[in-house]
Amino acid sequence: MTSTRPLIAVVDDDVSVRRALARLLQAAGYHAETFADAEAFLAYPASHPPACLILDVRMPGMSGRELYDHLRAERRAIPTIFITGHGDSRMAARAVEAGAAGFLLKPFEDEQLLEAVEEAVAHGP
Amino acid sequence: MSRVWRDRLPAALAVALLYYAGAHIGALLKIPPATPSAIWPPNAILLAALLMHSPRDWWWLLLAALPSHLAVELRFGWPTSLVLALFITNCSEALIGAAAVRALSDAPDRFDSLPRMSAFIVGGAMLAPIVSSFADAGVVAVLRGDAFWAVWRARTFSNILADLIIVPAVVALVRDLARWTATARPRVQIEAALLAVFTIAIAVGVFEAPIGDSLIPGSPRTPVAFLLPCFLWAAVRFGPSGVSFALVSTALVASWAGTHGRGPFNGLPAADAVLALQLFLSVMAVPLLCLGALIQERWRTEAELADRLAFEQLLSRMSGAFVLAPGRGVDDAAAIWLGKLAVYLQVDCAWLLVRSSDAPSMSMGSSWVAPRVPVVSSVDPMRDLGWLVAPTLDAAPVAVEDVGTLATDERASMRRLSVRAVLAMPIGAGGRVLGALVLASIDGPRPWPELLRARLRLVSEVFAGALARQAADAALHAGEAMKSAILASLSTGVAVLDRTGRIIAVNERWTTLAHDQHEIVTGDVSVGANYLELCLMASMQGAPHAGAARAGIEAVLGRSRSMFTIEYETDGPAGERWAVLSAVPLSGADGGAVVTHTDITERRRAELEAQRSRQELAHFSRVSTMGELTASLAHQLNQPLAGILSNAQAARRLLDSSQPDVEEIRSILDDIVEDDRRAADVIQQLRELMRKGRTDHVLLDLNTVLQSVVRLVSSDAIIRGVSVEVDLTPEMAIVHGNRVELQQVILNLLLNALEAVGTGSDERRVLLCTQLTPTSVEVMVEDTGVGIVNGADHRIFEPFFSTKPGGMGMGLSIARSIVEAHEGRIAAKRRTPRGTIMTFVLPLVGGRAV
Repeated sequence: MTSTRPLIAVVDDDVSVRRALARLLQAAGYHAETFADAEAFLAYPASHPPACLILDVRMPGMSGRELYDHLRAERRAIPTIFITGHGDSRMAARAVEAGAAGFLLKPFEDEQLLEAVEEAVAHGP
Repeated sequence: MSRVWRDRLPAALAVALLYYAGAHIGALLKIPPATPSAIWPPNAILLAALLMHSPRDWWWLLLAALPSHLAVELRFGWPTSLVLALFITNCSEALIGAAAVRALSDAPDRFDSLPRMSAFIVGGAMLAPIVSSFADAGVVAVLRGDAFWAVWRARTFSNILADLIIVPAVVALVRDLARWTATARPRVQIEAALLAVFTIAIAVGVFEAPIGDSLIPGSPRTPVAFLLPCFLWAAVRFGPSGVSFALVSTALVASWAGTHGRGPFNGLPAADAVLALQLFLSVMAVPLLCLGALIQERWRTEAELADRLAFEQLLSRMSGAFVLAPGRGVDDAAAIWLGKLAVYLQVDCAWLLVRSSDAPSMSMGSSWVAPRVPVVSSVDPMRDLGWLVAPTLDAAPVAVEDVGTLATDERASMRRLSVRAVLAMPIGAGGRVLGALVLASIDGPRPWPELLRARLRLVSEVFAGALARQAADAALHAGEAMKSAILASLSTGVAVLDRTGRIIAVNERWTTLAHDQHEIVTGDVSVGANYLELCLMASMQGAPHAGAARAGIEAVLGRSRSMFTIEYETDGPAGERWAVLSAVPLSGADGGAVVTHTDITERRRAELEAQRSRQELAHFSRVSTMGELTASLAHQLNQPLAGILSNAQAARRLLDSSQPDVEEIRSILDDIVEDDRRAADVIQQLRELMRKGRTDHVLLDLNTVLQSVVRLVSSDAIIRGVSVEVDLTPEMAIVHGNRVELQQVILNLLLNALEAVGTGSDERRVLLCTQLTPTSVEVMVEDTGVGIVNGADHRIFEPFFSTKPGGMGMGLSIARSIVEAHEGRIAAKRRTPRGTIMTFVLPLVGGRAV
């Protein structure tokens, strides 16, 4: 059962957002793991890389963008969907240019997220 | 002809004329062939002239007599050498006599006391003729071959008689006759005339009556003693002068008779008869003259007593006048009494000089000039008589008895004022010179005897008292005038209450402000009303502040409070007004209080206006700060909104499933509710900060306020990538303040710190911490940013000072005004190695809570 459900990682400092996204992803048939910050995610065993990473851009400590760049530098690139409550179109463009799978502005519709996740999972890194 | 000679001429002419007349009379009374006559007046006339003048003048007086001497004696057919030699002996007699009298008597030309008369008789009438007759007899013996002793005897007795009886008469004639005829009462003058007639008649009866033709029937002749009543009469009623005139008259008649072989001594040879006559008259003269002198001495003593009495009366009336004169009347009293003093002292001018309070000089206080004297207008004491006045400033009197004795400049200054003699006496009290009294004589030189000066010292003391009082009064009036001017100029109403609360004095402003006091008193608040009673009435009628005011003023009157102040709002015709009433105790034995009433409407309006504009500015600043926070706030709202949306959509998916997990849906709904609250909180916080206007100060925990602001900026910090560390005291920091305004201050400091750190720094850190002291709470915002530009530490709090591009420069200025309105203070300093520490301190309410 576990093997059939792709693992989606959610990194967001807001507990409410984390919990809501986990519920949504599980309801859509994914397995969701949530992390309060970038450091917690990096501590997760690298042997089970998630199929998709939903990453908050602004966080205390290491930001979403820094985490993304770090993973790429370590050649552990994961299809990543950036989410942010801070509307910044330039950052969105730069993220997508850098290879991000998507960029969503909070609050976003569930279909938008799930479509992006589905696409990311299908394409792979 | 010089002025000196003009002054001398009358005396010289008188001497010449009298000498001539005297020599003629002497010549007529001569028994040929002897040179001496029965009575020889010229020498006596010369002696009289010398006695009346100072030795300096003797030479020209003697010279004046020479022409007369020559005119008379050259006609006798005597050799010129004899005539000249006789003139020299005559002069020597006068000189010896004058010098001797001057040496023996304190007043050579006065015969009004026994010592003076004795000096004259011994020195002038005895010594001089006796001594000079040796020379005279020698000259005659040598030049004419006459018997020395005969001549000496004849001349000695002749001249003793002449000097004895003529000198007092001549002196009286020259010095006193004019005044006597002018001032003596008619009755006395008639008496004198009668005395003269009786004396001459009796003298004629005694000396001229032929033998056997006696006044007493049966008597061989009229006794010489018949003359005695006349002489006594003269002595008792007219003193030495009277005796002298009576004796002269008698002597002339007797000599005339004697030299013509008549009279009581006509049985003797001519020379012996004359000698007998001379002895008789001389022996009579001495006691009579002494009697006259004694009597005059008594008159003088009586007159002096009367004079002293008169002076003492003047002095006491003067003192009385000054004591009774009101302070401002001292000048008038001084003018009146200066005049009375001058009249009493018989001076022509009297000036009362007053010393200036600030400079060593004197100015004219009062001046009096005798009516007959030409008025010397506008005398400036320092300018016109500086040499006279200057010593009086050092309490030294100056006396000038005769202008002639002065140096040229000083003489000129006196002549300009037509003054011949002057006396300046300092007026002092308690070792301080207050002025000077200057007396001047216009008519001629006059002595300023010690008696006069002693009296003037007494007068000066009276004037000193008056001047001192006047100065004190003037100072008092100046003080009063200054006080009332100050009171009148005050914009504060002032009333003085006595210890019972009765109003005893008010200033003008008090009256004009009276209307504003209706919150405190009822009725008329003018002098005479009892303020406490008016408060009580107002209190009973429900005036809101009356009770407090009454209690406060009563406490001040009772000395249980040193000050009472009440501030209140009142309605006036021009709208809302504010006033302050305060009361302070009145020092002094009588107690009482000073109540002031100040209209502070303007001040209060200005305060309110300042407060309003500060609040508006603060609001404006808050709104613009909100603008800066927009992105951050959007983030803060978007987080819960995102949570809500995703949760709701997840719930819908769960409900779409065949077996919905109800527990999970409940949990989702709880999360949605929580997120909604979070969003509402953000909105609430925003609304609060955007709210405009007055918010009352309340008790609040500063730590809570700080936390709310930290939450507000947390998103901004995240966006900027800055970590905000918060280190608040575990205890509450209770302050009295306006929550929104304090939030604004902290927000401002935090945003500044975030911005400073955000601009390119390796260590991006902002620390917010609080510390408590026993009385205050200190809030520090520390950043690792660029720091304050050198020298701008204080300027950063000034309005419109900004280091930020696009900054308005109002944030810190407003922060400071808010902190100061909370009775706190704010400061900035550089942090090492970099960054800034902003600190503000607020007073803790009730001290530190444990």
